[in-house]
Amino acid sequence: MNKEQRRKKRYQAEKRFQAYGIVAISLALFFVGLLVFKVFSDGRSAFSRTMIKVPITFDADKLGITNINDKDEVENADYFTLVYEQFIKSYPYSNDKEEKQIIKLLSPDYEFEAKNYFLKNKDKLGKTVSLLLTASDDFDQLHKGNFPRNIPEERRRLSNYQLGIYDQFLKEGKIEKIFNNYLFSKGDSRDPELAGFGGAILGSFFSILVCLLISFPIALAAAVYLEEFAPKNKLTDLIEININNLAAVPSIVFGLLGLGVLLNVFELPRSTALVGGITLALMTLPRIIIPARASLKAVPPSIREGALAVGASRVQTVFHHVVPHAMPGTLSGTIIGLAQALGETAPLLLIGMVAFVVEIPGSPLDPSASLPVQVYLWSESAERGFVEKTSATIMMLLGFLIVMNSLAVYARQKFERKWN
Amino acid sequence: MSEEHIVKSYDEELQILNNSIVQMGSLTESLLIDSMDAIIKVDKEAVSKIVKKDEEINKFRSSIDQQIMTILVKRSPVAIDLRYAISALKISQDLERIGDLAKGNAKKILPLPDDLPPEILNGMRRLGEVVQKQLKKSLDSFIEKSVSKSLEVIKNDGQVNDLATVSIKEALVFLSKDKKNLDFATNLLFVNKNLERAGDHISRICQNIYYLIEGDYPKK
Amino acid sequence: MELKSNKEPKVISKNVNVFYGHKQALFDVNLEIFKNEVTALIGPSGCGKSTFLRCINRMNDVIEICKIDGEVEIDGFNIYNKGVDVVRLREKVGMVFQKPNPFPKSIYDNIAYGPSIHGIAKNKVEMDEIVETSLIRAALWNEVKDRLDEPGTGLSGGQQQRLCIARAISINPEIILMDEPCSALDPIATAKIEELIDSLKTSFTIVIVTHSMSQAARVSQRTGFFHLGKLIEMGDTEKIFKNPNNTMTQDYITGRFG
Repeated sequence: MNKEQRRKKRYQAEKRFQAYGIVAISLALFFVGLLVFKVFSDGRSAFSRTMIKVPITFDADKLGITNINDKDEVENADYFTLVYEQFIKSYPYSNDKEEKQIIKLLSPDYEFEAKNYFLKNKDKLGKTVSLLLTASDDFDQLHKGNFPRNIPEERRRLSNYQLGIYDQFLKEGKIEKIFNNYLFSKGDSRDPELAGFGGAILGSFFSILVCLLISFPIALAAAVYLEEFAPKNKLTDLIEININNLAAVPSIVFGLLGLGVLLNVFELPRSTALVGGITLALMTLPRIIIPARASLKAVPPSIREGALAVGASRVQTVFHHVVPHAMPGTLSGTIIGLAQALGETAPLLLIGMVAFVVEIPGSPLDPSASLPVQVYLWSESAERGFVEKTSATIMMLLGFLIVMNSLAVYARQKFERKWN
Repeated sequence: MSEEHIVKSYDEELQILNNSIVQMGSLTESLLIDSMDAIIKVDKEAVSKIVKKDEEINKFRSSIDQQIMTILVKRSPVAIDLRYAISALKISQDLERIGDLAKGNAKKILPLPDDLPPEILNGMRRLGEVVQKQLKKSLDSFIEKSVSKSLEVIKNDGQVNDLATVSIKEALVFLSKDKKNLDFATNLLFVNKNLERAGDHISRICQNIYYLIEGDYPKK
Repeated sequence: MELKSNKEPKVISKNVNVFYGHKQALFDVNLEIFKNEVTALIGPSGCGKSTFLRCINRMNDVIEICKIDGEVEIDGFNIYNKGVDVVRLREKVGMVFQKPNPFPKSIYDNIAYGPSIHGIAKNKVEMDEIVETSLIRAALWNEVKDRLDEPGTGLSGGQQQRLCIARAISINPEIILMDEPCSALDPIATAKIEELIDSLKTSFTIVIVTHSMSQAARVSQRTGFFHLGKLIEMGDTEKIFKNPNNTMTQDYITGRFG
């Protein structure tokens, strides 16, 4: 083969290689795009909530309020009956069964919604207001188009009668979609239309916070000690091998550790973000130590020498010069480790952060769920309404991950600019 | 010099310089001989050849100057290389002066007077021979880089001076005998004096050779 | 070995042997460095001159496999005695490296770091003074006085090296060690540093390792020639470069062997 032919072959090989690269990237982008598209298209509808416009008269007698300023009276007034009686008037019914079917079109929360409205607008006593009340899950799904109408009635969740009511309301303009703030403000619920991941968000937040506060200082200290101060002998080699192995241990094992030690031995409160955070911290520790050590190793010796030559002690050299120089890499590793912890489900299941928690946790000591656990729980439920919520939760998770990774990039750039 | 320079062209430049000095020295040697011959044989024809030879010696001087400048600029010589460059400069200076003196002697050829006692020329002839021997030894000392030969030349300069003194005295005696010998006697004086000065230059050449080798001038 | 009897030696090395594991890098080095003079150490690559330099401020301690035998006395006190505080030693003996290595901080902070960790300045006014004085002495003040907050790494190579010199003198050492300080610099920057070394020697004792023989001849008063870990010859710079005693020295400086 002469020079010319060889050169031609080389160019061809290069072109082929480029083509492989483009194909690989396109394939990867395709799958990512597919995932994002599926999740977004499924979850989009979770961000809106179907409401039914109901004219409600806050009749003082019906409510049993004699004095508007009496807190007790207003608190304990019978909003349930008020709304019930007035709602069923919105459509003709002929028997008990139909009456029940009408009221079932509203979310069972309606008395609280009416009460909350009234508490904020006490001047409406005695007046009629066009109140927006949350529709039930089936009604909501029907309005969002997720409900197949052309299957036999026995297999449907809504009867023909109810479908008729829907069509009527639609014609009368009584149906509205609003932004679903419940998604963010409410905790879990058996009723999908009332369920939100507010609790899960805070649960994740608290557990990641606890994880960060525990793992970062310990990991940084360990990395600095192992890299800068520990003598190089068989023992430290052993420790290094074990740290590397720990990073590869399946996360569920840490869940078992959490269960066995934290819950059974130390008897910490179950299902709390505290325990979740500690478990995640144990898992995240090696994942921070490894990039921190790599960053420390990468600090050029000229920086150390410059500090030592000016009379800095070993400790001063390490903490004033080497560690700041290694910060960009360490922070990147930390945030990526935290992002991984954010997405962990198995260990949290084992320590009980899988409970059905309705209340939004106020502190890491309150029981809570986390975002990925919430996805798991909702994906198991039968109701159609949970499907969109599951996807919405995944969207939230992805959003968090993007934010955290952007933070990593930003923090890295900021440190690099500052120190270099 | 123990070994060769890492850069071969440096060694070549030094070799060319060495050759130039050796050649200039040989030329000066032969000019000295020619000049003495011409004076004793009263050969006026020879003068123009002698003048030409001296011009060649001067050309050598320019060339050697240029070579040394180049070595200083290019090589920044130190230690023995530096001493060599400086010594070469001085030696070529001294050789040129010797050439000038020999040429000057040849220009002073006059017909011998009839009543010239032959002993007078003997003195000058002997002085000329000794000076020639000194120059040859100094050139050998340069080629061999010999400390002992240099020291011998320096020591013998005393003998040169003594011989010159004797020869000058004889010339003065001859002069005092008869005024009509004035021109001739004056020339004799000049020739002897020039030969003595040539001897001084040769001694200086050997001092520089000593400095080149030992790094210091010989103690007086 | 020549002794200048009218000056006291600042640093004396006595039978110094240095080993990197099993490999010996320095063999029985005995030499003296005199106060307020510039001493140059020359020799081919790998001859041990940098290793010797780093013995004087115990920078070799950082290398685990490096072992040192013998004594290095500064002002008559052996710095390798047990219990010697290396931090205090390095307050007295500063170092400037081959590749300029300013801290990734501002110019001001670069200079201020040393004095601050040694507690030399009592307040900001004193620190400002120290920074200014150091920069003036390092012939850098005029070029940077309006941008003390800018990072030290933003300066040119020659300026960075002068910054490192200013950093070294900010803690008022007695000895300054320079390990080929100009090898990464262009001729003009080099000349500025040589001028600086000239002016600094009245206040400090300077030891400079250099690959450039002409530099050693220009800046130093005494020169030591190392070869394969041994000190071959040490003496007045003029003598070494005009008429050295040892043939090996002459062969090296005239370029007859590398």
